[in-house]
Amino acid sequence: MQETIQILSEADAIVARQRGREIARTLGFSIVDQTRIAISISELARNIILYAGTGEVLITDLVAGYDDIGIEVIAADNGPGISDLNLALVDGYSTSNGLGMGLPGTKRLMDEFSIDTTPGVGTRITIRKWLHSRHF
Amino acid sequence: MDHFKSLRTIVADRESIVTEWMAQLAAERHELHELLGSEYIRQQSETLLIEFPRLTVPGTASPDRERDSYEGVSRWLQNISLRTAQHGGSPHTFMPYLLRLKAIISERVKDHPEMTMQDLYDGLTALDRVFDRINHLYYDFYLNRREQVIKAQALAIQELSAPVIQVWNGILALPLIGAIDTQRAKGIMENLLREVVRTKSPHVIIDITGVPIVDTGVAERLIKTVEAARLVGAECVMTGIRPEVAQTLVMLGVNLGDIVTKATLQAGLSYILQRIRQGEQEAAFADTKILEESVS
Amino acid sequence: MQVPILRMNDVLIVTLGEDITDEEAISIKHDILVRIKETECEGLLIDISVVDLIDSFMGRVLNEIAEMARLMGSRTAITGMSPQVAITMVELGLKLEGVYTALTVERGFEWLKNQKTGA
Repeated sequence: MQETIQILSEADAIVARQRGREIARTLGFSIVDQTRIAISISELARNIILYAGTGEVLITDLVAGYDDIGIEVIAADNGPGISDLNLALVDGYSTSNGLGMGLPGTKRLMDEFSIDTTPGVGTRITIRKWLHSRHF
Repeated sequence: MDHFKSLRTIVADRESIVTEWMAQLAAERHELHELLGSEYIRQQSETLLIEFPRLTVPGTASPDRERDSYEGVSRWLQNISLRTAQHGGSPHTFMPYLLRLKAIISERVKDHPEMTMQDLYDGLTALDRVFDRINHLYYDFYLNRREQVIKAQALAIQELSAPVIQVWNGILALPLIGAIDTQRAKGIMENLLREVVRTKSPHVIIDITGVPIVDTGVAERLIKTVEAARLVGAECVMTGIRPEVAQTLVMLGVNLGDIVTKATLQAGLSYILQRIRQGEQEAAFADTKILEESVS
Repeated sequence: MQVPILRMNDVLIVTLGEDITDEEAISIKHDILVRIKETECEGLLIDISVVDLIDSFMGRVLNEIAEMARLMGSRTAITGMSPQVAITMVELGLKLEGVYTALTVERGFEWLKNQKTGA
């Protein structure tokens, strides 16, 4: 199962999070986890619009070990990149008019979080959540 | 040279091996017989012997081929070990049964005509290694299952140690017992909020008498729980803060914010009852006020 | 989509839908403020029992509504937040400032009524 959603406007952020929630539900995630996943997608997609203008969200299901499954979301853009990664992960820090909880908040909601960013080239954020969270 | 060939020839004589194997088990009144029934054991033993010739001696084939060759035996082990466990058996029940087969086969290797000393040695070594591999697979399943059982039990204990009790109409109590890590805190929060909404209870007492250590991390998790409860519309009172806990919190500089705290559960309960009475009076007052306004 | 804003005694009541777009959220904010001015209501009740998610954008809109309503002399109660919305809001780090949150519309309404008398 894999799905790519083009992020061109705020409305696409809502489409992406709805799809993410549906996929999470199909995989057997609890209602709270579904919401954690949906809200994370929403934040990442909004970041794309805010900082890069456009980009895409890729949602994939994962299989690990004997019996664990998970969901992976990749938010990628060709925007300006993040110049100070440490700062971007501090609660309350924001370079736009957001509330500055997008990235640190998303990190708290998910099991795994990683950023790959190059100034002037783009940003690629990968987040994961496992059905039995013990992989981190 | 395939050292396993002689073994294959020997095992091909399935009927007589199974008969001998079963007779030995019956003679010593083997525990597995009693647990699973002799007919079932006979069937299973035959299945194993059908699978046996497919095996490769570990290290003699490519890893992929080796894995494939043990797939059937793997499945067989999984079935029978699960069944043994379900009937209360353990490795002590199962291993002697399996090793009995190894003994029978080695006897036959020795009795095999036209065997040189080298053939005999190679054959027995191959047999050893095949059975080592089977043992290994069996213990893998066994430990894996054990781990699952332990996890399930840990989960059950966790749920037991954070029950949500309705102590009064509209008042829930959450007596916490034991250490609170992040994972457990999440479970407690979800459970509490679900109960608050289900029972429509606007008051919650979180009693931490049974929490051995309240450090910054635990305090932070408790604060989050109180915040989330407030968002759905319930007010929390934290009780059971022992002197040493109060001391640590102050020493660590932990700020419980505007969370109402009381020394004992009883004090917490009477505080809430007082709040409810107050609210009723306010409401009555507001009603009269509105009535007066509409009349005038 | 136009969201109806009802009036009951001195309280305005708004029910937010399941998945509100950003434009809708902004127009609801605008409509509410206009209605507060028109009616001079001193209480605003926003029921979010069917809202399935509040992200940082939606959280900000709710805080703005409450703050602007307060400036216009009206108190805000938000009712019916589901456990999953509350948990994820806290984990994300979102707060609702100057807002009273209640389990049900009835309780929110009761609270607003009591505020009016200054009790």
